[in-house]
Amino acid sequence: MSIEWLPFLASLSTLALIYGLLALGLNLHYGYTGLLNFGHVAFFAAGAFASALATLPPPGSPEYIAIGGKYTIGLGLPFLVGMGMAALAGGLLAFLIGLTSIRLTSHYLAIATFAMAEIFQAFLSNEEWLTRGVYGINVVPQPLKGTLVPVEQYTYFYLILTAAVVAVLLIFAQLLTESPFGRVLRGIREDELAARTLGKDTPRAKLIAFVLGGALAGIAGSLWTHSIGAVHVGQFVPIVTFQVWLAMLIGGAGNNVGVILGAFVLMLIREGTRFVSNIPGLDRFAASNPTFVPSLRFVLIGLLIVIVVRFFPNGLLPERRRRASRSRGGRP
Amino acid sequence: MSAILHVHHLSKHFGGVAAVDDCTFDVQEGTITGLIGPNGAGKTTTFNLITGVLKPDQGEIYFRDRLITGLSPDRIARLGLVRTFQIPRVFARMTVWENLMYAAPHHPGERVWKAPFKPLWIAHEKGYAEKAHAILEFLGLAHLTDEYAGTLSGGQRKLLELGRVLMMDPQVILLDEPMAGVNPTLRRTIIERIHELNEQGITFLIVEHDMEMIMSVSDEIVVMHYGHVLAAGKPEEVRRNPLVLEAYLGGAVI
Amino acid sequence: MLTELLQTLIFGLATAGVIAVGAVGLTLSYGVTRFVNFSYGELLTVGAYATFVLVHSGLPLAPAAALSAVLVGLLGVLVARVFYDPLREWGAFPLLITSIGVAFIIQNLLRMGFGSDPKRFPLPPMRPWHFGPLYIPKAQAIILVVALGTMLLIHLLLTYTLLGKMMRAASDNPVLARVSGINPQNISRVTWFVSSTIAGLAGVLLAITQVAIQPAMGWSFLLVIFAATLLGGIGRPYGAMLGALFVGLGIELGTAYIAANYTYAFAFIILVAVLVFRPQGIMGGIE
Repeated sequence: MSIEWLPFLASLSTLALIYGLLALGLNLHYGYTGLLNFGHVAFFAAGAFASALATLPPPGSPEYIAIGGKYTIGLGLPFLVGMGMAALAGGLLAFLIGLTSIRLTSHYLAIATFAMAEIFQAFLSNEEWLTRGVYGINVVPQPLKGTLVPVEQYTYFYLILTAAVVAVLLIFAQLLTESPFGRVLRGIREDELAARTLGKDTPRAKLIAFVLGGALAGIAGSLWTHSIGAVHVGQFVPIVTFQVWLAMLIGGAGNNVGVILGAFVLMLIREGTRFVSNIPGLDRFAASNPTFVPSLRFVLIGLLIVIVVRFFPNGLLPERRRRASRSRGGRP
Repeated sequence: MSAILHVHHLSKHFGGVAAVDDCTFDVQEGTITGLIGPNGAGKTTTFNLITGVLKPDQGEIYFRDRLITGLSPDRIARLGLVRTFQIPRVFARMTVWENLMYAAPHHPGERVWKAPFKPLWIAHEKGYAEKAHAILEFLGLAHLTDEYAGTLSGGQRKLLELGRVLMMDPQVILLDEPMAGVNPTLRRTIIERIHELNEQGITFLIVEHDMEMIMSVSDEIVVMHYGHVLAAGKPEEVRRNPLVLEAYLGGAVI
Repeated sequence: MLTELLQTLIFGLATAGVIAVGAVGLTLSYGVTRFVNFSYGELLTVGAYATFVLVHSGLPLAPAAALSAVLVGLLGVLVARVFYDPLREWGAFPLLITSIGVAFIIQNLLRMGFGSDPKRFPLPPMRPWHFGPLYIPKAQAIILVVALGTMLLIHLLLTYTLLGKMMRAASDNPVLARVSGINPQNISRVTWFVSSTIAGLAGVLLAITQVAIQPAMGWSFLLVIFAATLLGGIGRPYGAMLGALFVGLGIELGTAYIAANYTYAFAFIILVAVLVFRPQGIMGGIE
């Protein structure tokens, strides 16, 4: 193993953790509450742009000029504040989308969330004053890079940072889903009408779950944009949403640790396709068509979605049985 | 005794067909009241209207003299008016115990702000757990505590549904065909439990096709036909009512 | 002012024509499968590419389009058989997510074969007609004629043929249809074929309006078709035609008078509005 592998693995792991966090949010929507959210990428985008714009140096400032900035909005706030605003952006967008669609049944909820994500993307694409449209912003600040953390070590630093954030949020998610609130959500997933006749305010619970999942995706957006130092509306396309779905399904919907594991498996599979261009026979194809390998990757993603849903619907880590003795103080 | 539940000129149409048509009746507090009628008489629709699952086109529903028409199903359930379903709606991928705990009312652990902080709700959770276990013992389901509800038989699911609503300390329980598809042994159990709960003060309104059972169990009977009330009174009176006999085409069953 | 409005309306009608063909196909397939097929757009794309290949192999446009449509029809039946039929009794989610997977597979196979770059669709050059200040590109006229022709054919099929009546019966009341002796398997196959053939044809029409084809064309158009289908009432072919009219006009009017860059987004907004305020659409959707 030569030395270049290490930074590659590190950044791959960071990406896996970010997808894992996205999956954690989607797990809250679908795994626990049964909501078919086909627009998850929108919350990712909201968080990424919010964090980027919050942390970029203000236009006109010395830093702005030094980095050759062309964007129009920058608040120059610290990274953690940016992350907070990312959570708020994701949560707020989820609130707005949720208000309109939370009472829709499965098919229609899937279509509505998908459509609203597309509307949001069209909005981001066209409002250049906000996002610099097709050009994007590639001077997004990366916290502590070059100052406290040497540039060469930055990939490893960022991995640790991401791991810490995801770990905290995983614990938070786990506490939430193992609580009575999580139980309410699961009942909604099983049979919403029954849940209502047992006295639970299900529309409210669904909206809360939707907002929290959106906030988690927003934080993932913040981690993403600062990891690469750029944000561009073209990154936030539906295939991102469905790769998150795949990660969740592979890992096991309804299991928080499982979905993060699923994200790592997804990354492994994706990177595996890199070596296809080395297969004799296919390498000529790959050379003549630059989109060959990426497209093959997406064919594989599509195929995996079909296969996992049909043959491995429970994923790698199934949902745990919650036994009665736990709450009586006994061992599970 | 006063009418704990008063249904007043209730009507509900589905695409031109009147499922419930100017339906009026009372349920007296502390009674077991049977709601009978031929298939399609509108009994389940009436249940759905009373519990807020459907909104009536016309009419009002009063619970303890309080107007509850148009309230959401969860609101009505929290007021103490609960129901079970003809085909039991248990939470299949949750255990029997979890199904019961689900119904625990006013649980601070269900508030999203408090949920991640166990010490804020663990005492309530333990209290409800004790109650759940007591109910499971009472219903004879204790041996199934950690089993997934989806693995239960039809009769066991009916008992589970009853257990769930009992967690809410209800005042009125609407049972939709509690005997349907249940084996004779469990039937006896269910009937005995209904009596015991009734003695503790819970009012029952039961839809049932098993004539023998409903006539022997009920203090009062309401007969529905084509969406409205045909007759109401004590079982012996209703039994002899010529309109009722006619409705049942010779009334061999009664 | 008026000229501009009339011009916009004409373009709107042509757009509506393309949408209508696509929407009728989707709504017919919903009648049989009861799920909203996210891979439907890919059938349009395949129709466009198949025509492209056939024309470049020497066939004139019209026969190439017709042959492609039939090929897409067969593809649709095959895809349904392999991916969707086994999941029939599984519920909404598995079908929806599987159709997403199928969409990615088809679209990216096309991308692997043809590359991402838009390719010029082989249309013979045509001079537009001029009516005073208005100009009508011949292509738009062809689209309108083909679209109307297709809708007429569908109408005749559904109303006057035994097959059409069986399709309608199976769509309105599957249980009753089965009891009356209609074989659900066969009707399902035929409906998939008809719906997919129409989709292939819609793809050709779409390629004509867009002049160029690229692998994501059907996928990008999918929500527009959804908007028309749901606006009309899901499962209702005549509703789909009506919905397409409104959506087509909505897109052109919105693009001309509100914001030029948002195009399809106007359709998406109509879609969301339908779902939020009246999910059953104009004519009331089937269950």
